[in-house]
Amino acid sequence: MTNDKQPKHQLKAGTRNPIGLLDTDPESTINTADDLPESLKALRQATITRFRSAQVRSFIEEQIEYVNLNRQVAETIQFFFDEKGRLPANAPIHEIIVERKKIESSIRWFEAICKELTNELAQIKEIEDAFLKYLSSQEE
Amino acid sequence: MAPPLFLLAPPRSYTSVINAMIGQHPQTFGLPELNLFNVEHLKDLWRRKPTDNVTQPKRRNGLLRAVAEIYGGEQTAATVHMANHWAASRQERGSGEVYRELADKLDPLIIVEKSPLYSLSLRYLQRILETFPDARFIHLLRHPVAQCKSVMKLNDGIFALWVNALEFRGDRAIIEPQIAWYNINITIMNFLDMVPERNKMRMQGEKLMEQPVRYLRQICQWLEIRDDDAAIDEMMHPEHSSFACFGPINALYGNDPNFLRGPGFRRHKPKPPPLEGPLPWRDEDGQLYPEVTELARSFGYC
Repeated sequence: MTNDKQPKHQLKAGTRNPIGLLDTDPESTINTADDLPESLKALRQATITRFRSAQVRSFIEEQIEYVNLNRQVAETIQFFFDEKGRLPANAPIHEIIVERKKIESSIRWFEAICKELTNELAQIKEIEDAFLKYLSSQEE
Repeated sequence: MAPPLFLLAPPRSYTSVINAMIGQHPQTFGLPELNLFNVEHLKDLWRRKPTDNVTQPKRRNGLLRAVAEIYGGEQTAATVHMANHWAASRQERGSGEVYRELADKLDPLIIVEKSPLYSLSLRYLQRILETFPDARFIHLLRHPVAQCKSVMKLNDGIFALWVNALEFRGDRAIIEPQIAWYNINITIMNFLDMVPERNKMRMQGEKLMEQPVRYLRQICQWLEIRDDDAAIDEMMHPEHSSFACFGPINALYGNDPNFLRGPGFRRHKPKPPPLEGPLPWRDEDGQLYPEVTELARSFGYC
């Protein structure tokens, strides 16, 4: 695998061979996933899909925890108001502004997460479709 | 110009801390991960390739922080902004030419750098030698089981998946990091065959963790720089490096985030697991491949 990458330096690179069915050198075009038999290519793709799904799942879990935490903060703030909706005279207006900004940024964050998840979903659906198409072609 | 020193190793092999330690010597300058030799031209660092595993901005953080520090004297949002302009004005230049400019600026200090991605490809490593024919290299080793365990702990082993370290077994493919451990070490060894004996050394990271003074002194003697107690004492404090912390908001990284969070050196004796026996990242009775065991033995692990 090193023959096409001979150095210009006076000493020559070694020729020890790597292991594995696929090349781990990102610069190499030899032995890429495209060269694998269809069945192994599908197995590789399934592993990648499974890995991505697990990552999306753990990402969602983290974000839900974050959003819940911020809802609790909002619930705490409502106790500042009396039954007529008035703030106490010594209300910490600075902290309230900070909380308001925090919640606004949470909303923006949540919107960004939704967008990211929608993109992820589109990608995964595409992979799923390709995989199902491959399986149905094998059955035929 | 003093020839630079590069640490070559698979990721998760103590490279961050050892790079920062050597870089704290009064006659050296430890850089963050520049990733320059991963690309042909500087502008390519601003381009996305299908083979990239590190998000683009993260990949550039090290270079921007280095330029900010070297030319601006500090790392702030403003100096990183300046560093972006510095890079933009050199975008058509070859990565080696840009690296050489940095080395000239730092002369007579010896540059010390480790970008783990260099060790993935013989082509990247050749670029180093083409730019610096007298460059020196330390092949840093880590026990395969410990290194693979660490790789699998990092984001569920995404690195191993990215480099196609997959084992095909029956009706499934398994992420198998020992393939990456083996192939990266093989790539380094194939490359080092091109390097004269006097310019390379091999060292077990575990030994340096256990007896830092002894092995740091050995490295100093090999580099022909001061090896007195004062110099070694400086090297025992990687946390004093200006790159051993998160950077400004527009260039936060430039190194392993775990190192940036806690860059201090903690002397300890790593307990290497046996080369035989079940592997912690495999559910079933997976073992090290015979090739991996043999290579590990040749590195002095048992």
